[in-house]
Amino acid sequence: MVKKYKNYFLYDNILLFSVLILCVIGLTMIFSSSSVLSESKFSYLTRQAVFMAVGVLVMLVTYKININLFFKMRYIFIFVSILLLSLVLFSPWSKSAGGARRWLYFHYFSVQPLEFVKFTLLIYLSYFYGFKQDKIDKFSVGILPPLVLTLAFCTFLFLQPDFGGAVFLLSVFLGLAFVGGVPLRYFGGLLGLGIGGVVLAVLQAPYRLERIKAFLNPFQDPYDSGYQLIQSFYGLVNGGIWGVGLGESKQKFFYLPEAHNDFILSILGEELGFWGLSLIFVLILLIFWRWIVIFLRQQDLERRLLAFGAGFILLWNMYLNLGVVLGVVPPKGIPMPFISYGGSNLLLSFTLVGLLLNLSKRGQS
Amino acid sequence: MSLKHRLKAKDKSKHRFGLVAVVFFLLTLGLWARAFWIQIWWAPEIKARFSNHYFVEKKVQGYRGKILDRNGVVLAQSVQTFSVFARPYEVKSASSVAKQLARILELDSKEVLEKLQKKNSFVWIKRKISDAKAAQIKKIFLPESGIYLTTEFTRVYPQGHLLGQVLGFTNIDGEGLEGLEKSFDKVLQGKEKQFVAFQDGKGRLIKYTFLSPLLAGKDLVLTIDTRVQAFAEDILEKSVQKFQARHGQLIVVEVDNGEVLALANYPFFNPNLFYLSTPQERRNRAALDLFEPGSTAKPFLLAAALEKKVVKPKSIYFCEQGKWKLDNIVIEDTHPYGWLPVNKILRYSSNIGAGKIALELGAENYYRFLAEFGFKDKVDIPLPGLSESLLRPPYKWNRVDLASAAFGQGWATTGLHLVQAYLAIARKGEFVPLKLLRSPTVEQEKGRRIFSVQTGKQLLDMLWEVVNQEGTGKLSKLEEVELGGKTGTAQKADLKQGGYKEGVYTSSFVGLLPARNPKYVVFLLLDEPRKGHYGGVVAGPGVKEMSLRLLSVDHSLLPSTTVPAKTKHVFSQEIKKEVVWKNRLPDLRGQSVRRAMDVLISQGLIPQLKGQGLVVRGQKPAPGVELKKNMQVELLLGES
Repeated sequence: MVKKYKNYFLYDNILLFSVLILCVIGLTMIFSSSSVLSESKFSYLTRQAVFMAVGVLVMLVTYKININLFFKMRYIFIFVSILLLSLVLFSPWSKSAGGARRWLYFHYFSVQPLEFVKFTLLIYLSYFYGFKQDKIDKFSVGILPPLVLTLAFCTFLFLQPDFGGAVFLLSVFLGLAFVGGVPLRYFGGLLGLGIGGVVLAVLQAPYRLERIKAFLNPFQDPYDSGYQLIQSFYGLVNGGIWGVGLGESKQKFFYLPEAHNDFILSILGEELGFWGLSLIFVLILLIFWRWIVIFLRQQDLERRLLAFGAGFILLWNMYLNLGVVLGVVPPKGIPMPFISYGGSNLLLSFTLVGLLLNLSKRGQS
Repeated sequence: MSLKHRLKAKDKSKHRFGLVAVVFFLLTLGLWARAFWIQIWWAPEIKARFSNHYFVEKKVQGYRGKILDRNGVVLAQSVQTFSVFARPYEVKSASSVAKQLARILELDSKEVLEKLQKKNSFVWIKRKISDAKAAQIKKIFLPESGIYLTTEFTRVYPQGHLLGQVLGFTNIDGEGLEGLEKSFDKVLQGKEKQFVAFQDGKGRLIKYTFLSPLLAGKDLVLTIDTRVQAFAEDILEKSVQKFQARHGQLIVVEVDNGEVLALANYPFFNPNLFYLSTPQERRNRAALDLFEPGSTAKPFLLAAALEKKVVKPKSIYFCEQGKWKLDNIVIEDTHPYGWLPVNKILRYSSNIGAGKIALELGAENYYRFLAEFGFKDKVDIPLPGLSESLLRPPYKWNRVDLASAAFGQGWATTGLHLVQAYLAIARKGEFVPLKLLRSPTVEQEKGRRIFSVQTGKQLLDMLWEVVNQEGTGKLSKLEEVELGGKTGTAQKADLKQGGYKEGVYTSSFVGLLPARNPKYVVFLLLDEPRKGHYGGVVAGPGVKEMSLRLLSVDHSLLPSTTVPAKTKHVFSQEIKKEVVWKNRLPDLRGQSVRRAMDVLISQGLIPQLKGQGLVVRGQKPAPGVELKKNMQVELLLGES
C-alpha cells in the first residue's frame, strides 16, 4: 500500500510559501500597528520574529518526526493538556485578566494551554477514528470515549471561563467525528447537545447575551459593547479599495483595541484596502487547495483524518478571526494564524503546517 | 480491526470531507464578499457616521508676557507647570487610584474618589503641582491608567511681595484680575492660535507643535527700580511697625522725567499667594486711598500766592499767637507765633499764616492752581480704578473753607496726586505727569509750565529751610546731602459723625533730594500712627533713611565722588554672600531668588525660572561652567 516517495524540498512548496508569505505580512502589520503602543518601536516586532523562528523550528521538527510517534504519544499529550488546564485554573502562574484566567504567565512569555489542547484533541481523535472503525457503530465504545474527553476539556475551558475556546474544541470534535465516519443518526443528538450547551452558557452568564446583542446591532451602543466591532468597521471603511497606505492607519492610534492582535486584519484592511485583504483570501484558498490535495493523497485513514483535522483547525481559526473582524461572528479572542501577534497560536499553526507537510511526503509518487 | 471496515471508512471520509470542503470554500467566498461589501459598498454610509472624529480643533495660547523693572529684573513671569487630570471612565479600581493620588498630592482621598466617579470625560484632580510631584505621578500612573499630566502656565512673581499691589495677579486661568496684570491683560496675554490636530483614541494629541515664541504676549517694562523698591518696602515696613500705624505708603519719583522708581504699600501683598490675601492687603493705597493732605498742601498755596504776586518771601503776617477766630471757628497753630514772614510760615507750618495768605489769594486763584498741580484729574498712570481727588468747586467755599484748604483740610487726594504735584515744584514750575511704564509707551500729556522758575527757586529755598533751619522737618536733616521737604499732619475726618476724629491723624512727609536742585521726590505716609502723630516725627525719619539708600544707589547725589563710610555700610547690608564669578557660573543654590536674579542680571543673563518658591534649589548649567554670551540659565525654585 505504501508508495515510495521522492525527496522534495519540504514536499509541498505551495503550502509552505503561502504560510511564509502570511508570516511576512504578519510581521509587517505587527510592526505597523504596534509601533505606536510601546516606547521602543521594535519591541513587538522582535518578539514576534523570535516566536516565528521558534515556530519554523517546531514546524521542521514536526515535519521530520514519524507520524506514528505522535499517535503513540497521545496519552502523554492528554496528560500534559490536563496538567496545563489545571495550572491555569489553580496555579499562581495564571492571572485573572478581564475576569478570565486563560493564560499561564512565565517570566519572559505566556502560554495559552487551549492551543496545545487543540493539538492533543487532533492527535487523539485522528487516532481514535482511524483505528476504531469496527466499533464506531457502538455508542458506548465508538462515541462515548472521544465525547467524554472533549467534554472534559470543555469543562476546564468553561471554568476559565473561555466559552469560545470550548465551542472551538466541540467543533473540532464534530468535524473529526463527521469525517471519521460516525453514523449520521448520532449527529442529531450531538447537535441538540451543542445547542443546549450554548443556551445554557448564555443563560449562565448574561454578558454573553449582551455581546451577541451588540454584535447584531453594534451601532446601538457604539461606545461600550459595540465599540470594538464598530472600530473594526471604521478601519475597513477607511481603507476602502486601495487602503490608506502602509503605516498610515489612524485606527491603530488606540481607536481599535487589540490592533496588533485579534483585529490586525482590520488594520491591514485599512492600510492596504480591499486588495490587501484579497491577498489574504488568495493565500487562504491556496492553503485550502493544498489541504484537499494532501488529504486525498493519504492512504491510511488515521493519516487522512490527521490531514483533515490539521487543515480544519488552521482554516477554522482563520475563518473565525475573519468572521469577527468582518462582523459576522461575535467577538471571541481568536487570533489570525501567522498574522496576529502572539506565540501560542503561532506555534500551534506551525505545528499543524508541519504535520501537513509531513503527510505530504506520502503519495507524491 | 478489519481491512474491510477501514476501506469503507476511507470512502466515507472522502465524501464527508468533500462536504466539509464545499462548506469551507463557500465560507471563504462569503467572507471575501463580506469584506467587499463593507469596504466598498457600505463604506460611504459608515464614513458619514464618523467623518473627522480623528481630528480636533485645538487652541494654544502663547506665554503671557513678563513684567520687568527698568533694569530688566523680572517681576512677573509665566512658567510651565504640570497639572493632573483624569478621564474617569478609563480609571479602573478608582478607590486605590484615589488613595495614591491623595497621598502624592496631599488631597483628601474621599474628594478625589468623588471626582474619579463622575460621569465626565474630563476632570481636574489638581492644577499646578510641583515638578517633583509630577515626576512621581508620571512614575506611578502608566498611560493606560486614566490619570494624565498636562502643562499649564503658572504666573510666578519671583520677587515675592515686592511691588505686589501694583503688579496685581492673575487667576488660575491666567487672566489678570488686579493691578497691572489687569489693566494690561490684553497686552500681556499670549496670542491664541487655532489649529487642527490628530487625536488618538484616548483623546491625546499626536505630533503637534505646541508653543511658538511668536505667540507670546508683550512684556511690560516698568520705570520701577527693584533695588529702590526693595529699600522702600523695607523702610516702610519698619516705619509702620515702629509707629504702630494702620498702613502706609512710600513713593519715590525721579524728577528728571517723572518716572516712578518705587511705589510701596504696607501691609504687603504677595501675588504668588493671592488666594491667602485680603482685599485690604491687595489695595494699592497710594493710587486709591483719599486722605486730607494737611500741611503738605501749603507749598501749593505759596506757589499760587508768589506767582500771583500776592505775597513776597519777606511779606509778614500776624499769626495771632496761635489762636485765630474766623467766622465762629477757631484755627489753631501747634505753637503760638506772632509776626511771621512767609518763609517761616512754611518753615514752622503755621496754619493761621497760611489761612491769612489764602484769604488774600482768593478761592478762585487757589483752586485754579490746585487744578494746575493736577489735583482735578486722575493721575495718568495705567492702573485699574484710580481715584479722583475730592475737591469742591471754589464757589462753594466760604472763608473758613478757604482758610482750611490752605493747610490741606477740607479736601482729599491720593498719594500719587501729591507726589505728582511736588514733582512740579521740584522741576521749578514745570508740571509733568507721573510715568510708571517704559514699554509699551503710552500717550501722556507733555510737560507744561505752571509757575515761573523764580517762584520755583523761592519755594525750594523755603522747603530747604523746613529741614535745615530748625523747621518742622528738622529730624530729617542729612549730613551728606541737603534734603528739602514738607511735613503733613492731618486730622482724619470722621465720616460718620462729621467733623474730625480726636487724636487720629494721617502723618506724612514729602522729601526733595537734594533740596535746591532735586533729583528725587520721596513721599512717606503713615495712616493713624499710634505712637506720635507729627509728620516730621513719624514720617520724617523714614524719608531720611530712604534718602540715604538713594545715595547708595545714585552716587552722583554726593557732593564729592568719595563714598562716605555710612552709605557703604548701607550698601553692604544687601550683599550677604560674596559671589565669585571669574568667568564661570557661580553657585546660586540656597540664595534667594532676588539675589540670584540680581547676580545673573548683572552679567546680562536673564534666567528661566522653573517651579515655585522663593529660594533657588538647583541650577542648570551646574556651577563652574564657563560663561558664554546669551547662555541659557535655568533656576529650579523651591520652598525654603
